[in-house]
Amino acid sequence: MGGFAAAIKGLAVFWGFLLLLAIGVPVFFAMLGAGVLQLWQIDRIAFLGMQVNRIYSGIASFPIMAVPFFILAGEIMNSGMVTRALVDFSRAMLGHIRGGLAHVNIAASVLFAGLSGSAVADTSALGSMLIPAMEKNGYSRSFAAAITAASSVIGPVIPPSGLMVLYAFVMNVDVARMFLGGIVPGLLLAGSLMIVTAFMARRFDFPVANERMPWRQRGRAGLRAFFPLLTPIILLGGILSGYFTPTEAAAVAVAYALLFNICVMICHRLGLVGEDGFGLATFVKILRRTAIQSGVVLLLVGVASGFSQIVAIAGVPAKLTDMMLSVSDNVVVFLLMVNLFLFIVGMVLDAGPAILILGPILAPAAATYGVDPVHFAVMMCLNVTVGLATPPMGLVLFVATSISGARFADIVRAIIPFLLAEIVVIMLVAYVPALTLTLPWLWENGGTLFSGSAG
Amino acid sequence: MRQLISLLSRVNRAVSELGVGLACLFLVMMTAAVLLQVVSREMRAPIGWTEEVALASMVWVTFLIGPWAYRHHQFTRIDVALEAMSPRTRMITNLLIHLFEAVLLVGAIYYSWRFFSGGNSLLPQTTRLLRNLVTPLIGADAAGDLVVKNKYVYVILPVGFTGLLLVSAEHLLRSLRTLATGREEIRNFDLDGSARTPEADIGDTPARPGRED
Amino acid sequence: QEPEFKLVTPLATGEDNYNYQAMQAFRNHVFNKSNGRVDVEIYTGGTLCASGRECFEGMQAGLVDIYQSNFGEPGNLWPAFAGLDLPYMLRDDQVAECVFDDQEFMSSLRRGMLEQTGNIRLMVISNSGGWRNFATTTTPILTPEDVKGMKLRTIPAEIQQELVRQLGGAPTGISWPEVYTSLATGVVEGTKNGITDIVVMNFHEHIKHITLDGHAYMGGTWFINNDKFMAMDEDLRKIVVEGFEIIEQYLRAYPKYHDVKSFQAFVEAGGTIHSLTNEQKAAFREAASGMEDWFTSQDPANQGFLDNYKSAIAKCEASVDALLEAAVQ
Ligand code: NA
Ligand code: NA
Repeated sequence: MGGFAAAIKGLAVFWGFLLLLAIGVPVFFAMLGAGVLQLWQIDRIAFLGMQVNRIYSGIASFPIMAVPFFILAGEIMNSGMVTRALVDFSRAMLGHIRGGLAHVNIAASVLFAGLSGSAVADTSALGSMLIPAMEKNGYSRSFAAAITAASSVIGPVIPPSGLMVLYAFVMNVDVARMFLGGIVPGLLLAGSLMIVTAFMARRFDFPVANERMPWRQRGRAGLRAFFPLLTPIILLGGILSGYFTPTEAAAVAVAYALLFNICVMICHRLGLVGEDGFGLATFVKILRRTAIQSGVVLLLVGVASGFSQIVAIAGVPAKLTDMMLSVSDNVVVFLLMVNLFLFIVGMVLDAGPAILILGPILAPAAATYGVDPVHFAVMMCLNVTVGLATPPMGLVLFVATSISGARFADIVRAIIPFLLAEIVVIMLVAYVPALTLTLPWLWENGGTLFSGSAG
Repeated sequence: MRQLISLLSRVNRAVSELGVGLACLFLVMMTAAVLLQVVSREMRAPIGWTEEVALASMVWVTFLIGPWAYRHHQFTRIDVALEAMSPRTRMITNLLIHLFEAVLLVGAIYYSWRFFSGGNSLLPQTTRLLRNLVTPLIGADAAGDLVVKNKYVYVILPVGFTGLLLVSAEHLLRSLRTLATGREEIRNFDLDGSARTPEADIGDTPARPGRED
Repeated sequence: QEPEFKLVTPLATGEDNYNYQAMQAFRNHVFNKSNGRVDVEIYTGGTLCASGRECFEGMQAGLVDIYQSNFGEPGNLWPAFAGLDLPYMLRDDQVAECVFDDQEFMSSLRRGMLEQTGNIRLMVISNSGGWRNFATTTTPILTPEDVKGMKLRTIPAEIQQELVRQLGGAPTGISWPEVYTSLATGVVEGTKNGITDIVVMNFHEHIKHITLDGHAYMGGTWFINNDKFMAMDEDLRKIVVEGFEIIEQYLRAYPKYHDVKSFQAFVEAGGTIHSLTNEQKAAFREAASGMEDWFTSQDPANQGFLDNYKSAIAKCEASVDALLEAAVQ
């Protein structure tokens, strides 16, 4: 067991981080401190010089820019009539169901997943819109934050997905097949969260916002929510027809939200609508709040990049993998170990670095166990993404904390039932390959099946 | 010590408010740059420098916000253990944590200063644009010097970390005073953002960002 | 015992890439021939530094010892260096390899780089993936007119963008992670990459045409930290230089085979390769003839570089021609 002892010793960064976190050091400093500890432990303290560089480039990455843009768009919509319109509409449609707004939160994430490949952006955008609305509706702040964080992991599983592109890049797997493979697992995530919500709604008597509304009233509410609800359609349409990239779409969302506000102001002046838009003073406040929220999230993204670099340099993931591979050669045991291992890794590592570091180590192992590459790829992406919402170090949890203002510990407590449901989905996806592989198979063989010609 | 804390407090408030104000400007610049990128491309006349400007602006927003966020307890931390401690242990732990943070920040300033001094040209397209704009005004040689200057984008890192260190010093002094007087500032250790120190000079932002109901 | 010199080498690619294989051959040579006095510490997959900017800054800070890059990145340190990316200068592999073996030209590059950076020393220029071609999703590019109005994704390097501009196209900056989606949805109508990158990134799911105009040689430039290099005894330095020659040999031969596999994958995915006649190539060269003037107007130092470059090319074209002439008699 010398290898085991060495692995424990080689994982200084892991234990150091957990220890610092536990005694109350902020995540930002715990990551910096654990990194220093690990570099010192492997005798590479000189590489501290590369850390600042990595922090810089971790922040200065184009796809991550979607985060501040979606926060900004969410804030603008929140300050105008949009939140109220959305809440009214959701109430009209689902208000009579127990836990209606919680269901809306999940459904909105499915919709958003089609636009954004980032769980963090999903949490920011929907969180800043729906958490206040849910709170107003009588949910606890921590529950609203928890359901937002839990459902945001649908984002990188349903295509498009930056994470899958990343995996395809390092492992040379067909992106299109991965995308198709992600659709069913993504919907399963949504379904499982809704089931848990439905159970909890009955058990804990979640708010019913109102009586079932007549369709005329629903139509009126729908009309008011029409333009905000058009946002995802405009974004998706714009992306699919090639007007902008997914990240640029986030900036377009900001422009659309601002334009919408100006229209509301003009219509109000003309006496067409009752709601007023917001003026310059409010806009400055919006900028201020957005800058602060973005800054807090991005500082974490920066140090997390540096932290991941040290984790990789120290060979931490490889040590963990070695420990696992020496245990069994049964494919069921292997997948179980991978799931467990990725779950633990997901607790401390961001999804992107986890894929970049572990994909090349685990995928060849999976191939020797006879697992289909696309199946394994989708499972792995799902697994590390759920890790984003897993304590102690889930980026999505931190964002939800920052957005909602609820206490981290409370959110963690509230998210546990949802995490359990997501673990069940991971297991299903791991042991029932057909869930992942049917859509890619239909896509490839569809032409042959239906028209007799390939392709 | 009281005067020192109050002095630091005043400096920090000014610095962090200035940072937030500037960050707002950079946020606007970042959004405008990306929108310009979309529009110019659709007009089939793409502008090269939009991505560079947007990315640099995002880094500036991040580090300009740092001091404010740190000062207003916006850095996520897990406080279960702290809450469970006896007041005296908690005061000591808090002091040690702030000391630890300050040491890390000193290191961060050192390394980010080196990063800045050894920085390479970062924004080639933006530099080109600037040079083309100013060459008719100041001549080719002086304009050529601009190329060297564009590493100044990096300066925000040492500046940002220094801002954080100033805040850290304030936290450190406050926790020292708490230990000396034995009087805890109300939930000073609780960084979930719902609590504020009672000092009037910090009480300027009662609302949490993102909550305006 | 512990080696006296440990050469820290970050690689952007993984262990299955030919740069890693070349580096293994390098390590094998220097370690054995120096009797273990010099060793290499390789960090794959961008773990130590992921971009050219990061790695060069790491080298200037003394933390990175060996680094491989394209032509564009060092151009951010010394603008003239980017001139190696000027289009249609090198006619084929033979001439390119001869030019980058020309000791006079290479030492002028080495000197320029050292003067600009202080400690970044150019060792060899090899290949990193064939030639840069136009690759498009729907409309093939057969004449310069076809480029007019076309949104082509370019890397953030001035020369690449200026070429598209001079041909009348719209050079479009898209960050690397978003290129795949942009090709799929039509944000851009094409890209300028080597075949290896196209296949590795799965761009060939959407790119259906590659025009073999070969506008730029995809050079792989290898640098060493000069402070570390000069700290070695002369005999060790010679061993290191030999090691780089091994890298150069391997990476001039192996990517050519790798290209074959990549083109095969591209054709199997339904792609079409368009090779150009000499007249068609001449039309592209003519349409891009303003590039040299543009380049020399960018920086006063560029003229000197260009003169050296062109004289090396002329010398090499003559010698390659003479060799071929002699060989077929
Ligand atoms: Na959600
Ligand atoms: Na996690």
